[in-house]
Amino acid sequence: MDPLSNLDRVASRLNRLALQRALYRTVGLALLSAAALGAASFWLEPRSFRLLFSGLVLLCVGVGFFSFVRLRTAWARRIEAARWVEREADLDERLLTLVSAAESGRELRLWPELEQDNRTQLPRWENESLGIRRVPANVSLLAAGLIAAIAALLPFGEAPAPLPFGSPAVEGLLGQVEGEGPQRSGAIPQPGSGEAEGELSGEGGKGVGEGTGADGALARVQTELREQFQRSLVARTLGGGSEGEPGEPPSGIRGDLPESDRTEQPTQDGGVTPPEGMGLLVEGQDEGEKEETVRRLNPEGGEDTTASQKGGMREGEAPKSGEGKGAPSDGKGKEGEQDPNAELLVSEDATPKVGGAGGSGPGDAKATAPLLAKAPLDLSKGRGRARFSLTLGGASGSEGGEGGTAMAEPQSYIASGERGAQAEDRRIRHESVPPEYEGVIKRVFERKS
Amino acid sequence: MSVQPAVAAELPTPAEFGRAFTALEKEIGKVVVGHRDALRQILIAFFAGGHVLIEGVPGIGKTLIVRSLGEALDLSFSRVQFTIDLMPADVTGTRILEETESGRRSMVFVPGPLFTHVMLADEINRSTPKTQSALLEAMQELQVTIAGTTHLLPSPFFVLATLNPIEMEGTYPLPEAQLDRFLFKVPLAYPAVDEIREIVRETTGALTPKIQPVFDVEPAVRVNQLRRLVREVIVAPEIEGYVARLVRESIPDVTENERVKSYVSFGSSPRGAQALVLGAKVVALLNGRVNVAFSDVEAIAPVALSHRLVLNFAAETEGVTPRSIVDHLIEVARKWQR
Repeated sequence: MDPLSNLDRVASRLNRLALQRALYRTVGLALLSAAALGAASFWLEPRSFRLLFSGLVLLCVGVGFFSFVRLRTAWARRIEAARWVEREADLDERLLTLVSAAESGRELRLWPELEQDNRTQLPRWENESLGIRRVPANVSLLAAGLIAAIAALLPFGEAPAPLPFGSPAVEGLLGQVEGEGPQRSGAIPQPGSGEAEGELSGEGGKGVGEGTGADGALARVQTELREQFQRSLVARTLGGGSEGEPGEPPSGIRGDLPESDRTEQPTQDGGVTPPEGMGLLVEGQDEGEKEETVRRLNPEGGEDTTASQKGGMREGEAPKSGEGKGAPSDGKGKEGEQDPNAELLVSEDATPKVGGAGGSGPGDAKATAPLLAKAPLDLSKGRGRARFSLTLGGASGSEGGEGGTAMAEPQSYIASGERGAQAEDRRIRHESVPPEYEGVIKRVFERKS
Repeated sequence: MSVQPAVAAELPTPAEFGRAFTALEKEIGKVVVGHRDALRQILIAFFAGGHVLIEGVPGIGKTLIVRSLGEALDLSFSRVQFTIDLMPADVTGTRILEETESGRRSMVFVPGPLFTHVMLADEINRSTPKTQSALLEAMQELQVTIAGTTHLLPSPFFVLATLNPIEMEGTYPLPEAQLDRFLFKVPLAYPAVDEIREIVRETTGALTPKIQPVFDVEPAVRVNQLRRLVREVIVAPEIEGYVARLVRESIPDVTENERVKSYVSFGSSPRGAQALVLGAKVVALLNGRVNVAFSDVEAIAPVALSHRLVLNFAAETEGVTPRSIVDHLIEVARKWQR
């Protein structure tokens, strides 16, 4: 075999090896970086994640550039391959001289001797004797990258933890929710109604999971919210709807509890106790006094009662409507007495003494606005430490309401057409909301004036 | 790209060169006991077309080596004992007034001892610089110009000069510029005990070894052919670059080498690079190659570079020799080879 031909083969093998090295190094690092990013996305804060992402991108780009430069410098032509062979086989510069002489094109008297000398040395540096690796050692980096990528990036086992709020994915979802129109962002559908069920469950024409694909995270959020809503709504007496309306709770759970059952203890007759942490917070009229009342549903009594933890009717508090099957309330509050449906009628109407549908008693209603009169919380898109809480009974005053002692309901700014929906809204607004959902809830239930 | 070989007219093969060289070593070795390395270096310089300066104390065989070389090559040989009153014309030759049979008188050039193939300039440092210069000019130009007439020296022309490192009083050390014209400076060391015993046995008996000429016919032509073969040895650009860096590294003004900067006043001239390459070519042929390797350069560097380095006073006081500097440079230059 011709030494120069063999040298060309060696050069091509060296170049292949160099190319493999560069490729494995770059791809392996990129895979490792992707795996690290995937793993870090579960537990890193957004800012840290962005830093890590930027750093890894820079690292990958740097290593890629370095690999390219190194590949370019290591690319072996004939003369470089001859140097490499000289190092490996110690040919006393025979091959180097042969290549140099061949490239110079000079007339050499000893060229035949030089060629013959190299031919006799050829067995010392044939491919097999040189031991050029077929696969570079850094293939292990590629393998490690592949393994890490499979382990970190492929979804298997438990579902991943919810994405941190503030991440680009969640922000995108929220933006999508906002873009779905007033029906989603403005009003809460009636529980039990077909529309509501359809929307919440995603079965309706406007289901969340439809279309964009997104959106498993939002769907989960809404599913959980729906379940909480349902539990909450079932646990409480729905005083706004008329009997027999779609979505109306069974009549058995609309009654008031007897006075004896106005405690926080579960009712003995099957009354439903709201889930833990879902009790309504009622602010007393007195400054700083807060009472947590837990409603009990009495399937037989038909009277909605509210048990005061701290006892005592708050002074000046107006009785409100919300009696299940009972006679319409007189709308008069007595001093020291407590209307068990006070909270339930808070947003019923801005006009006092409007009778509820289906025999529900009219009552003085407190306006919504004063009830939400607390300073708005800066939830910082769910990342803040503040908790989202709404309290009832914060409004005071004697306007509206008959009897003077009853608390007057302030004028509501809510249009009458939305009252029904807002009545439902009112029943859920005191929920203790998980902090990570606050941002979502605020956006979903945002009212647009 | 293919390289067309030139027509190799009358060019011996590398194998023939090796055989001739080995035969010469063997013949000279009959009478010269020991000094095998020195003898090899002298022969390398001879075939490289250079001249050799031998440094050694009296009585260790300097003259014997030169005379034996002449005899083995079957070339003309002359010896000049340099003294302080030796004149240039005593070496180069002179014009004399000669009267013909017809009575006419004319100036006739009478060649000096310089007109020979192999010349021994014994204790060259004892003559005046003027005489030294006359010899060194002939060594460089291979010609002598006397009274406007240029006289070519015979080819091959080979000068072996000796230096006596002792008895320096009344001597004229060769200037560096003249030292530079010697291809090699070969030190002759004291023989070992076994070598002295063999010297005694060979030179005090009744039978004196007889040197046989290596070349049967036209030895001068044959030697010149071998010298041409040496010139044809191929040197890769990497080797040339290595030699150039090695020589430049010995120059204290341009090198970053601390040892060189500390102890060397003047480094090697480009003649040092020529000596390295020419000597390495011969070594390559002796090693059966037609290309020069880095190892060939390394083998020849000590005798090719040592006498071209001028050390400073600090080196003298600390016992640093030119040879140690060259060894250090070779060590430094190893990393340039790959």
